[in-house]
Amino acid sequence: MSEILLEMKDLTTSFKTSEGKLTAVQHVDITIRKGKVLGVVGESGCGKSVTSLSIMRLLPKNQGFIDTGEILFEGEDLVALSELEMQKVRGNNIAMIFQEPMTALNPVFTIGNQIGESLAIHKGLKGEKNRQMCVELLKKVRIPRADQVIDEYPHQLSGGMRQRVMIAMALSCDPKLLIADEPTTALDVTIQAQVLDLMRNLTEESDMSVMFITHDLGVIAEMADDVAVMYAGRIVEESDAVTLFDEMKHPYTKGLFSSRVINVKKGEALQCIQGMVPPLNNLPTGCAFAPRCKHCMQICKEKMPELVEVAPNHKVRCWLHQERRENQ
Amino acid sequence: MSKSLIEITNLKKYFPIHGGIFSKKVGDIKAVDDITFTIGEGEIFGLVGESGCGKSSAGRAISNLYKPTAGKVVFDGEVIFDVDKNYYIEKKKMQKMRRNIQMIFQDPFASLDPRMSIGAIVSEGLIKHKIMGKEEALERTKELLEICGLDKSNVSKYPHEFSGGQRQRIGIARSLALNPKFIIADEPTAALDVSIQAQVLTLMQELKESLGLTYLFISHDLSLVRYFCDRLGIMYLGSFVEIGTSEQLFTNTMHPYSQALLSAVPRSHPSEVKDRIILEGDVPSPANPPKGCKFHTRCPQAMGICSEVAPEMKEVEPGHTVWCHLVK
Amino acid sequence: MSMSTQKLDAKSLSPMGIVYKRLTRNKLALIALFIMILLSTTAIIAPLLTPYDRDQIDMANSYQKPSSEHWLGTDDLGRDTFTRLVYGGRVSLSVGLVSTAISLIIGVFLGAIAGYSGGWVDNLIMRIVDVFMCFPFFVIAIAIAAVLGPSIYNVMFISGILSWTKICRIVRAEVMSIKGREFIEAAISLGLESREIIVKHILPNILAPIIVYATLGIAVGILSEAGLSFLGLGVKQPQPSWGNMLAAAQSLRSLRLHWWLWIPPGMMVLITILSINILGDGLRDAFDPKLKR
Repeated sequence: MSEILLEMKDLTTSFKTSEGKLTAVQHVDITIRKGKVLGVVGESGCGKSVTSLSIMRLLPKNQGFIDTGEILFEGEDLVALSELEMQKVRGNNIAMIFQEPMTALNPVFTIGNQIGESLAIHKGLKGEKNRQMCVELLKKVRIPRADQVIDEYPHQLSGGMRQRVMIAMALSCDPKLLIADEPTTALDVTIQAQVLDLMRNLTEESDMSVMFITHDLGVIAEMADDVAVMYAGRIVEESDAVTLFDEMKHPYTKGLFSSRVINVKKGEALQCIQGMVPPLNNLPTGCAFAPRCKHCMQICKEKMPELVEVAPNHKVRCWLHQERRENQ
Repeated sequence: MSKSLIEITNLKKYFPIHGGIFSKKVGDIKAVDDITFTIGEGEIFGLVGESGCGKSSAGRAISNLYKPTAGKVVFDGEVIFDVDKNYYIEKKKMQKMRRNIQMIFQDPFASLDPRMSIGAIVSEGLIKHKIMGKEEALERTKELLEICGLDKSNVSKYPHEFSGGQRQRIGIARSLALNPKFIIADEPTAALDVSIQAQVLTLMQELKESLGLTYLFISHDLSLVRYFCDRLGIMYLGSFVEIGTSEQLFTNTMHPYSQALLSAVPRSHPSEVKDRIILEGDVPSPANPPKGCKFHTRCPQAMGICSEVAPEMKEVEPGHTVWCHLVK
Repeated sequence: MSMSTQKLDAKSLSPMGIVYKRLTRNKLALIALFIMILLSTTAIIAPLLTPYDRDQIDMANSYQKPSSEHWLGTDDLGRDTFTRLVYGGRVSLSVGLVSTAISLIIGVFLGAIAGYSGGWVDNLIMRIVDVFMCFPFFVIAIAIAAVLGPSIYNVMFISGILSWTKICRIVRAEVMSIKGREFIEAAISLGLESREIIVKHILPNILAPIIVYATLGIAVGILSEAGLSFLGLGVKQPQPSWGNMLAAAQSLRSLRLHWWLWIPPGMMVLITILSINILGDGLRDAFDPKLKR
């Protein structure tokens, strides 16, 4: 197994709301290997975005808090850093791209201005050198006419191009970790294919690690080396991608997989997961997935199962597999 | 093929672009540019394409929500409009006709009036058309909610109390209230979580069978239409590039755009090898579509003739038509 | 546990119920609402509050200081200032209400038509709005008042006719944004007519900005009444209004020696406007969909 870049231990993040405290992420352990892509899958409200915002320490001020846990980035605990030290980590070591590139780009500055600014701050590049570097970055993300696009404004570019610009900005300071939060969800299929292709090449060329957040198992199949499946704030299954797709164990992962129509023949009934994701302030006791689970047993309604290793590097949080291990 | 329910002939929908000081018309966005197809009774016809290809405009022009620029639509033997003969159905008649043609919308958060209770939303059409009295309509509403998998106690609640999937079910219940023959579903699952998507699709499938509905299913997701639709038309920049049964289109894909779309669908397993056609560039503006074949600017197999002459419709096998110069 | 029961309470609330609940949580707005209710009631039951007649002249008792007999003293003609203040409230508040009602009727009607129909109708209405917006308010108001003569009804009319343009623009913009929503298309699909759609679907959804604007419009109405009356073009003596009471006390002598003649009406205008604006802000927050209940 390759070197570990980031290790998250027992992270719990909660939000203060008018209805009381909401725990969005509970006891999450994640490891991101150097030069590898970790895919985090789950539906809306499962805590996948909050996990990434916790790493970036970008939780909304006075609302979101990291309650427990540590996030070791190359051995340094990000949770313990001061805001000033964290600013240096952001951008320099960890960069982030979002689902909607238009809102992340400032509409009144040119593309060159925006990439150049980050180059000036993090690398101290000025003037002609800065511009050259910008063009180079745009070329790196395969933007055609890079030397013209640099003087254009965000609204002149299409969604796919904007997302490339975002990636170029993220790459401007050679981050060691790139967090991509649903970067292709707003894009068309052919454009999504372009962007995924680009991101795969970029990770292969450098030893940058990527944390790829998505709700789409197909994108995971495309991109990820390792996968963590999240449900209601917890990891329910994690392993490397091939193992996960070959031997998925958790009923939720299986449900997600068979909800994808591409895996079902025409005319066959879709195996869908009944019910819906429980609200965070009203989680069932026991396993959070129990009310929707086809294999729900008595114990599932009473006690939350542990995340246990069922095979090397394959962990599942489910009573079905816990029992089996204990019997052996 | 069964008896045709709706026939669309040479339908065009242009949106004028106004510019200059006196907002003179300076051009047209050719959202729908000459499409012809029929949908048989009990059939599910899929309209597929990327954003901006005119599939949603086509749906709205067919249901007479947009005033068509040209073309003719015949529904169940009755001409709704025939622009060439300057015939438009009378307003009163159209309002009656609307009972038979209903829509399901993409955004479950925008498609329900936030100030109305669920009961009022679903029963609105029944009361408007004086099909039933208030009491009776409420009973029918409860019935409809149960058909759509919601508890009948929900009638007095308001849309903000529901999740996206539940709202979509309410939208479906509303569309069923008038016992329509034909439902236009505009990306009904695009805004939903994966597991909820499968539920809504299953519901639509069941309703089709129990109520004998005909669907026009608009989607950007090829894997979805392959599973769900009987026949499909693939659109690019307002025109069809290929029409056929979903069987024909997926086993004998003829048009390079269809092939690219198909190959862009994310794989279902990490070790699956996919021959991917990555299209260059973005979709051109529908205000200024390329001459000749509209796809030639991005087509990996473009020839000299493609940029000059628009390809004719060619039937490659019964029911399978392609617009491409490659097909002899 | 208390959290989940609270959640259950919050369920089954209509959108208006949520607005009400949020508003009652805003203490400042509640105080403002209370003051407004208090002022309106005193204006309505004015004759019951004071033993004096509004216009009763008593030259022997002119310029009396506040005392237990005359709570706020008397003016140059010996009339009781408190009595006139309470009666003046009637005038000021009704001018505010009626002028706002006039501007609402015109503004909402034209704004809804312009926003819903678009095209040349929209263009025509918006050009009329542009023309009206070019008028400098006080110059026109003074001109109309000079032609029609000073009276309370003319003030209502002037203030209403000159201030409908803003609400018209607001309504038009709101209608246009609601018109594009899918539930309107759904309503068309159900076979509803334009009129039904505007009344049943669009207006209820733009109620929030209309109510907020109307609240603030009342303040503008009261201010313009005060301004016009101060200039002698509004409410005529002997009928009292806060504006003409201020005008009557504008001599240097009164300003220096008879504070009870101008401080009370001034304070009333200030308190009223302040309460209305705070209430308007409170309503706007309560209607804001971005805030959670």
